Amino acid sequence: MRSNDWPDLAGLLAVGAAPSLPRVLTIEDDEATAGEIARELTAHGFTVDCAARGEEGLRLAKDGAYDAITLDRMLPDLDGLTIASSLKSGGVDTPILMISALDDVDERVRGLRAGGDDYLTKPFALAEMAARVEVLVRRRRADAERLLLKYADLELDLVQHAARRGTREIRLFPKEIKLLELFMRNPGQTLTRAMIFERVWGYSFDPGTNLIDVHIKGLRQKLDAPGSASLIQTVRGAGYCLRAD
Amino acid sequence: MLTSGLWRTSTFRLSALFGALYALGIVLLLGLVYIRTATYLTGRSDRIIRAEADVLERGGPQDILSAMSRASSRDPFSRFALYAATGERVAGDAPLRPADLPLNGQPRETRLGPGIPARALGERTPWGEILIVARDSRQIVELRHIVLSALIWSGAIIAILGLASGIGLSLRPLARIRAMQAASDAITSGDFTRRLPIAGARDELDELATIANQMMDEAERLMIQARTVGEGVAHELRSPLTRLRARLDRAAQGLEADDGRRRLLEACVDEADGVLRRFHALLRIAALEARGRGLARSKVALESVLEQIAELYEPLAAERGLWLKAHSVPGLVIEADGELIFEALSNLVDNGLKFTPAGGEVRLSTAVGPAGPIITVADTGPGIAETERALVTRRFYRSPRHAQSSGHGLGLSLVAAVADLHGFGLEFDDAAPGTIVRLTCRGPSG
Repeated sequence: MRSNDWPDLAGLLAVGAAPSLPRVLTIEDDEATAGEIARELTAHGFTVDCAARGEEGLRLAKDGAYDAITLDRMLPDLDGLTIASSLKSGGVDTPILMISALDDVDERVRGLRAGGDDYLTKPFALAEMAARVEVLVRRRRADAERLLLKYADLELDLVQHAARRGTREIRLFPKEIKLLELFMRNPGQTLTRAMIFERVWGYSFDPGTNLIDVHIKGLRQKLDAPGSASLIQTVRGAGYCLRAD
Repeated sequence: MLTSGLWRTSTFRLSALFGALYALGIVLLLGLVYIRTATYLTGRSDRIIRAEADVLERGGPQDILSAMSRASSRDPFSRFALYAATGERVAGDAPLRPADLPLNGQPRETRLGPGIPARALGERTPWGEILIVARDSRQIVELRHIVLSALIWSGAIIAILGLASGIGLSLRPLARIRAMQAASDAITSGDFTRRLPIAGARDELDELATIANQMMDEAERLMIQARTVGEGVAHELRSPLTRLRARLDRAAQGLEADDGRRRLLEACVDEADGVLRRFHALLRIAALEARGRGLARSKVALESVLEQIAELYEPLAAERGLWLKAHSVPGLVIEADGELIFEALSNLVDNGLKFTPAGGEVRLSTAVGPAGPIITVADTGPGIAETERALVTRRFYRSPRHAQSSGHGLGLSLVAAVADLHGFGLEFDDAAPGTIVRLTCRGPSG
């Protein structure tokens, strides 16, 4: 069994967009939290720069070519929302993961509207944070417009709404297509249950442990031939990952 | 109603009572004046009659006739008549006959023709003739009329004044009571920061309002204390728990997959996840409750919400061997926060699926109620005992019968918080067998 310390580096490099390690800027005033974020992201194969103040973070974000930014919603000098919106209006399209202690649907909407690409509530599981950063980086490097997705012997045609594994046609419901699309657009990425629920169903509350699991189970049964290893693997303590071993 | 409330105010009752007492006093006073005056005038007139009769009789039969004519010319109010023992009139012009009066010498009430009241006495003279002396008493009757009309007028005026001042004096306290009612309605419907208005008059209403406000301050303080202790604990423990979970996870990743210690650490991570999940739910309910009435409502089509929920939970139902059915009346729309309604209904369906034994059914439906659409989640599970129905929305409440089930006991508290936030009704009923949960919504107009 592989540990999930270095799960996606190979996948990222295989895309070939950048030969170096992907770089993340962490704008966070709390030293302990910044340290934890940096350690976790480094363990996931990122190079991490930290900024404790909003002004400094904004300057670094504008100058350095980062692949993703984690941005605390509340900083002593500049508001996270202000940083996000001034970056976006300044033409910096680096994906931003907003991190906030404010757990409210309205806050989430405000954060995403200001230019955040994803939103995470404090305190968060570090694996959840890392999974989200990976998806943000990958999404930027991958071609989001593609409508024919392929992974291993799996194919998903988003125009025909048809899926195929090898030569076998797979019939999927619309929600299953959305679920599979999420995995195929983020191959090799760990997707947490919360991320899956947010992106496929559009809701951000806690769906309970089993709910997402049974949907994954249903999708696996359709995708996988009986007896063979599943393409959608369980990542213990984190979520699921599309991976052909 | 203002008027029905008016009659019940203490100010109005007091002023009406004072008006009535005052009117009674006036009646008694005037009555006393009248009685004393009438008695005095009557007595005086009786004494005059008696004296005149004595004067006439003193002269004996020889002088009586001349004395009578003298007295008549002297006093226009007195009238006389003298009858022979046989009954014929001898002299005098008083229109009274001996048969009209008892011949005992005592003055009594009589009449000198229509509308002329009088006092009169009749008696036998020492020499055997019959003498009648009468005196016109119209003065007394006129006095009685004057007193009576004074009574009626003053009584009416006092009654009207009393009523008017009662109403006038009651309007202000009544308006204050209305304001207090509005404030207490707001308090009972969840606005615990509202207080009863104080007019600054330092009267008994203000005193009562102050006492009630102090009680409310204390209740609010205790409530906040009770709530913030729980929330504070949850909030404070979330960060260290998250770190603990991350470290346990990291420790587990460092061990071989078949190491027993790794399984132990992974079980610890699961436990930590469970605690974090509980804290999260608790803080979320607290946030919902703190949000008060500021709710972003939009139009939510119930049919589509029910379809989405059925689609979301269908695989879970199938895995547990249950039927999940959704049936919605087409076109029903409510004004609500769509995400919260979805979350609340998800919780209800999740609960239904959790407690219903395999082979059973969970049914989601809508109906049109008198106040607005009603969303019903019914299951064929063991049901909620009547004694437990009030308890199930309490935080962390779990029926002793389901102590072994998964779940954190906060789901229904969240449903209750969402219902409360929207002003929707939430009730639990017996489906015999099973549970029915009804969410009574107000329509777009309400």
